[in-house]
Amino acid sequence: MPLGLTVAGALGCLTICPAPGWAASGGPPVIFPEAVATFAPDQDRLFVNVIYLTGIAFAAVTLALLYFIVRYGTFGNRPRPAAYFHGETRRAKFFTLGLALVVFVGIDLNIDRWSVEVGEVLRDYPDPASDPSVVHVQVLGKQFEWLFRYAGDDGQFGTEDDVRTVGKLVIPRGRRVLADIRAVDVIHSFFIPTFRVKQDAVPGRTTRMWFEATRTSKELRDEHRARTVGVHAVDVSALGLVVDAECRGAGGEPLLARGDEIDSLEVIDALRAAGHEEVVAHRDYVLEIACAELCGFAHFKMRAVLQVEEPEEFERWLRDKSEEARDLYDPEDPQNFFRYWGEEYRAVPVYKRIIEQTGETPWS
Amino acid sequence: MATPTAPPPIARGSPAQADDFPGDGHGDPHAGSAHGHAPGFVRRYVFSTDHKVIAVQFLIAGLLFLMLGGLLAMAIRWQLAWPGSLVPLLGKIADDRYLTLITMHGTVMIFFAITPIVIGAFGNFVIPLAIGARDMAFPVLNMLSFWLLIPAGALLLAAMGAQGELVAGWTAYPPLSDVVGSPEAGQTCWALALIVGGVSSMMGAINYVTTVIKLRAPGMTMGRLPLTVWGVFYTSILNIYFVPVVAAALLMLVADRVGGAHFYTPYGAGDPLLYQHLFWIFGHPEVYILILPVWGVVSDLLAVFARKPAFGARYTVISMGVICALSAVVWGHHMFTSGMNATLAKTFVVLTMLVSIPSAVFFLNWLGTLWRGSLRFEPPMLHALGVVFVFALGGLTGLFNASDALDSFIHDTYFVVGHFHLTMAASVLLGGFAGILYWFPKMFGRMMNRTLSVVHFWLTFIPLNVVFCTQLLQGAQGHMRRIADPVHSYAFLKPFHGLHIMITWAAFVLGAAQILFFVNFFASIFLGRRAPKNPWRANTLEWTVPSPPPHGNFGPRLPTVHRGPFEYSAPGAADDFLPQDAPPAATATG
Ligand SMILES: [Cu+2]
Ligand SMILES: [Cu+2]
Repeated sequence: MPLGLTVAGALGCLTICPAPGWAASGGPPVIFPEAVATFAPDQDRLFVNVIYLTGIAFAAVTLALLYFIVRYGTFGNRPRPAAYFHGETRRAKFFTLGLALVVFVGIDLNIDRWSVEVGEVLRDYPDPASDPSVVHVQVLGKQFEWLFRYAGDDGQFGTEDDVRTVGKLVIPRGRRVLADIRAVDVIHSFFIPTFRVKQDAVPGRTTRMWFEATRTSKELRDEHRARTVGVHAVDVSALGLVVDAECRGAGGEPLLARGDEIDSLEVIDALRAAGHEEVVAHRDYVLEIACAELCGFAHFKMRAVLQVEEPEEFERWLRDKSEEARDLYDPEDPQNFFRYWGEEYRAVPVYKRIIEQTGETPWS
Repeated sequence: MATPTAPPPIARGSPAQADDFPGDGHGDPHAGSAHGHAPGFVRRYVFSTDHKVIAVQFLIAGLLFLMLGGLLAMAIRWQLAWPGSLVPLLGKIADDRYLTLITMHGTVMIFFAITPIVIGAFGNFVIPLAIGARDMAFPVLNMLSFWLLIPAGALLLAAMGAQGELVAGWTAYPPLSDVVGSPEAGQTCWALALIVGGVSSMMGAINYVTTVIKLRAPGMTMGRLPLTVWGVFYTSILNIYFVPVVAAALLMLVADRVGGAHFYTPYGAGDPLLYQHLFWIFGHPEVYILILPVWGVVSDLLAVFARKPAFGARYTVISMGVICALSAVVWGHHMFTSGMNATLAKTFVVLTMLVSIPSAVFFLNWLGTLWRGSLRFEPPMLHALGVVFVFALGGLTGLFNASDALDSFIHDTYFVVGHFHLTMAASVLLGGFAGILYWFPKMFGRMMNRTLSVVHFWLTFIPLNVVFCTQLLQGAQGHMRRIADPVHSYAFLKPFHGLHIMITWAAFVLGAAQILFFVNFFASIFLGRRAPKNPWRANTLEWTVPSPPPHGNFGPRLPTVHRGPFEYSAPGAADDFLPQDAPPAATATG
């Protein structure tokens, strides 16, 4: 009993006292992607804290298991008699249930508490109607592209000055962005790894997500370039490097020009075959948006680029694009006018059939 | 201490249970053929109603599907490590063919490999023998349950060969699995295969529950059942409740696909999320459906090979029951990113967290069983200890996924893949091996080769952990699952591609090690050393009959049970084990 109490007490102390932020936010033990959103460090802290808590439990369990194996194992020819007890006494019952409760209170409830805190932040959607600094963007997933739409100069969606982009989301740094997410055909999932958030795009409903970027794409690109420029070994880790010097094959034929990316395992093989053990190169950096929900054969490349600009830069870009859209607007062309992604729906065969039969779009 | 109690009146008029069973085989497994009513080869080995034959049929079918599922995994791993290269036998894998491979891998492993092995084979073989019954309650239903698996498997293979790739994964979320995303015949075949497989599971489940409740030998109270029987019993209850749910979900999918219904397409008031709810109402319990028999097997085996009563066996049974109940109300944790209401999400987080209380109880009981035991590292024990380790990993990584906030980062990444493979693949596979190694002598009357078994264990256990723990790491890097070509898609994944190659090599070692097992298994059936009646010196009833047991299992008289299954190293007993049916006098003559 004293031993049991000590163990339970020690475990209890270890697990109950730490609060969020207990684990250092810097230098997480797992290689997370770059943290670029305001709440990304919170997410990482949550992740690291859960690693610590479950790590304690895992270490305790593994040590006990190893100890029992070594201490009570029958190695060779010296079988020791086993003790005889069923572990169904009051004491045993209190010990196991007690320890289970310690695990629940110490680990689970802590995780739950932190999870609620971070979840509150993730769900703290800004209101573009009351806060003009909020950037409101509509996101549409379709096989196999992400489409984006901004209200344009007039602040209204579904008008001729709407700004539309395909495969590229431009947002300002330091301003909150609210994304309304929809899907045309099948379920997609709007995932920004560097922001630590994803949100499914479900046909038939609108889901929401908000984020605020803390650094611009240019900053990140320059920083990564500075950090990675130099000599790199030519092995699988060289994948994605951009070479800073021309690489020639064994016969003198050019393999890679300056600025080319080592973009496949075959290129690495060719470099090695030509005797290149090392290359002078750097790593380019782009922020990426992924589709995280299986959505069909090209799901793996349903990728979009996230471009974070300084706010002034963003404003200028948005104004230019909006003007461009108004100039190109042709009221006679039905393809150009839509309330909410109408023509994208029409492109999907099954909806095309439905629209033809009933004369209405699914969610106009 | 084992105290003799009067055997309660259990046998309730089932013909299979009658004491005057024609003793056509006690002592000699082949004696049955000498009798006038001797069934022919087909009735005896093909369309047999003998639970032991059906168990072997389930086992062999399961192992063959395991081989298929494993080969699919190897092809997947090859593609992930060297995308675009020529995969042996398959050539260059197209993007949509890759999705067929992952869909088939998941479906085959879950419904056609693990299910037949841990439920079909273990349930069938162990339940009647361990509870002291002559056969299952409904032998013909039992036979049908196996023979339905064949059309189900055929439909599944047809789905793979039919027009159209299976692009929707084993979870088959509509509208991708619906006419919108995959209008061809393959996906319909797939859904039908699962429905037929579900009917087979249902038949088995009804049989197991009835057998356990009605056919226990005199003296075999529920409290004296081995934990393996409890595990399959709980599994069957979950099957009875939840297989109809997924069957309904899939029928609605079929209706959408062939009948033009719009259950899951938003047009016509359908909703894609309806499917997700129905699927996971079944899908979460399905995890326990697969793992409960393994928990039972491990709980039993740790006791046998620690030569010690299972620690807190009664609380293990209670906690497994509590887990079953909780499993019905936690499905939402699979849908945190679907746009779920915040309050609902928070509720599902807490409910999911609650599962760790009963889990911790039975897990601590496992450790308690080892404590002060006399551990014998026979091959089944190695695998059982392996389960304890990987299940700790698998269970604890579940806590990451249980957090809705963290889920918005790691949902649908390799973190989830690593987690559920640690629980469903690693634990269930090791537990399955433990059970097969343990009951093989009883099934076939021969021993499996010990050295081969030990080598196979280490060559399975180590790469298994390398593969799935590295996947956890990839998930932490944000690597999405179901990505056919990680090299040529996302820039942020490229620097870490080496991990894919490493996992693939580990997976190849893992796959190659299974050849050892298959060789050992099939060769030992014919060439293994003759097994004694009770090679592991275990207490449960199956070890009191010859190996293999005769038709009808027990001699003319059913055994009478005098104690629980865990009387190991009891003071005063003649040996360090005390079979459940040994008369109480045996205790006195120490
Ligand atoms: Cu997608
Ligand atoms: Cu679940």
